[in-house]
Amino acid sequence: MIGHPPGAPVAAGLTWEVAIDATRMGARLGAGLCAGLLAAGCTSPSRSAEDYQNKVAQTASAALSALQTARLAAAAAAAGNGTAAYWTVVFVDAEDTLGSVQATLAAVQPPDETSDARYEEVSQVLDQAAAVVRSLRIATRRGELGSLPELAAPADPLVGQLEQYAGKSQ
Amino acid sequence: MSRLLGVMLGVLTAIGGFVDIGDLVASALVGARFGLGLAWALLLGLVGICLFAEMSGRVAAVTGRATFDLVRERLGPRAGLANLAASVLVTTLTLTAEVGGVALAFELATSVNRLLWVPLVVVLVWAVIWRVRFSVMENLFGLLGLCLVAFAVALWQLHPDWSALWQQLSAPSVQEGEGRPTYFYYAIALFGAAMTPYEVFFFSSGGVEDRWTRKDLLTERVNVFLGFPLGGLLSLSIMAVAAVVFLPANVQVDRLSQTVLPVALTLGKVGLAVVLVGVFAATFGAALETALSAGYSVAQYFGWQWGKYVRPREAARFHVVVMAALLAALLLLMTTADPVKVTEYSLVFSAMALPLTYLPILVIANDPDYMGDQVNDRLSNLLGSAVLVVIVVASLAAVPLMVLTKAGQ
Repeated sequence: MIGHPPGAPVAAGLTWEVAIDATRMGARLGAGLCAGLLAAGCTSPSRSAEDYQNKVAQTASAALSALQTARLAAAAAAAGNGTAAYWTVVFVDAEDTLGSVQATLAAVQPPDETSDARYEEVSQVLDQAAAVVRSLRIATRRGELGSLPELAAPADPLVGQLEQYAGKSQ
Repeated sequence: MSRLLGVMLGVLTAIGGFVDIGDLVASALVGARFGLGLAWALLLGLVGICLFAEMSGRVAAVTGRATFDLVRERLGPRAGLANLAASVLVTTLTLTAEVGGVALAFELATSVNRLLWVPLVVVLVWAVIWRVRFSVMENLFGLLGLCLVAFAVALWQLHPDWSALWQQLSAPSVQEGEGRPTYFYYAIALFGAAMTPYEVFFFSSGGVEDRWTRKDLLTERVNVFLGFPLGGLLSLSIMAVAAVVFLPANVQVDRLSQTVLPVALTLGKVGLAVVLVGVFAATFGAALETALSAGYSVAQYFGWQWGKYVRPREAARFHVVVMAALLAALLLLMTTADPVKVTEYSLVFSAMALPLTYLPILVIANDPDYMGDQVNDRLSNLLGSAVLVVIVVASLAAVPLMVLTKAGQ
C-alpha cells in the first residue's frame, strides 16, 4: 500500500508560484462566476412591443403562481391542516413574490402606447392579487383561519385574467 | 448480527442523508414545471454519484487516505490546485445554501424571519462539528432525514394518476410553452444536484474518519448501491408531488414554503411537522458535511493534519478553514441573499466544476500503485467514462444555458 497515515503531511513543495497560481485561478473563477451571474440576472430593456409582451407574460406567470399558491394554502389552512406559523410564511412569500414582479415590470420601459395600455391593465390585476394575498396574511396572523376561503374568493376571476396574460388559458 | 445492524444503519443513513437543499429545491421546481419529464436527469445523476462514490469510498478503504489527499500527489500541484479552487468555491456556495435552508426550516416552523436564524444556525453547525463525535453526527442527521419519506406518503395519499406519471417518466418531453434551452438548463441543475462535489469529498474523507479498511468494502458498496438509490426515490417523490399538486395549477416553485405545501395539504399538522424535521435534518446534515468538506479539501491539498478523529488542537488549521467557510456563508446570507436562489446558482456552478472533481477519482481508482487488486473493473470504467462524458457536456453547457435562459426564466 502506497500512502501515509491519514492527515499526515504529503510531500512538501508548495512555493510562491503555486500560491500565486492559486490566487490567479481563484480570481479568474470568481470573475467568470460574477460575469455569468450578471448576464443571467439583469433585467433587460424592452426594444419592441413583442418583447414587452413577453415580459408581461412572464410577470403574469409569476403572479399567477403566487396567487394559486395562496389559494391552495387558504383552503388547506381553513381545513385545519398545517400551523398558523407555516401559513403565515406561505402568504408572506406569495406577497413578496407579487411585490417583486410588480416592481420588476414597473421598471421596464414600455416601448409604445399599446404597451402603456397593457401595463395599466396588468397592473390593476396585480394590485388586486396583492390585496387578496395581503388580506389572507393579515387574517392568518390574527388567527382567523376560518375566514380564509371567503377572503380568497376574489382571487378566482384574477386567476383567469392572469392565465390569459401569461398565455396559459385553457 | 452487529455487522448486519451496522450495514442496515449505514443504508438508512445513506437514504436519509441523500437529500439536501439542492434536491429539495431542484426536484420541486422541476416537478412543478416539467412534471416527471426530467426525472431521467435525476436518474442519470444517481447512476453517476453511485459509481463515483463507490470509487472514492473504495480508494479510502484500500489506501486509508481520502481521494483528494491523493490528487495532488498523483496529478501534481497544478492539477490539484484547479481541483481545490473549484471545489472550495462550489462547496462554500453549497454550504451557504444549506445554512440558508436550515434557517428557512426554522422560519417555516416559527414564522420568525430567516435572517434572525442564520447566525444561530452557523454557531450550531460549528458547535456540532467541534463537539459531537463523527459517527453520532453522521447517523443522527441521516436517520432524521428519513422523515422526508413524508413526501412519498403524501404522494400516495394524493391518489395520483399513476399511468400519467409513468407516461411522463417513460416518455419525457418538453412541456408546452417551455423552450428546449430551459429544459436542458434544468436537466443540468438536477444532474448537478445529484452529483454535488462535496458528496464525494465527504464520503471519501468520512471513510477515513470511520477508519474503513478492505474488510469494509462490502458495507461501503451496500451503502452506496442500496442507500443512494433509495435516497434518490425521496427526490423522485418530491418531484412527483410537485407534478401532481403544482403543475395543473400553474404554480412555479421558488420558495421552500411551497416545496412542503403538498405534504401539509395531504397529511395535515403531523405531516407538516414530520417533513419540517426532515428538511431540518437534510439541510443541517448537509451543512455539516459541506463545512467539513471545505476543511477536508484545503487541509488535504496542503498536507495539514485534518479530521474529527483527532482533537481540534491537533488539526487547528483544518478547523480554521471550516470556521472561515462558515463565516463566508454567514456573511453572504446576511446580505439578504435568497437561499433558494443561492441553491439554484450553486447547482449550476457545481455542474461546471464536476469534471475537476470526478476525473481525478477515475484516474486514482485505476492506478494499481494505489489500488492494487482493487482497481476499477471494466464495467466500472465503461460506465464511469460514459458518465464523465455527460459531466463534461453538462459542465460546458451550464453557463451558456444559464445566460441564454436568464437562469431558467
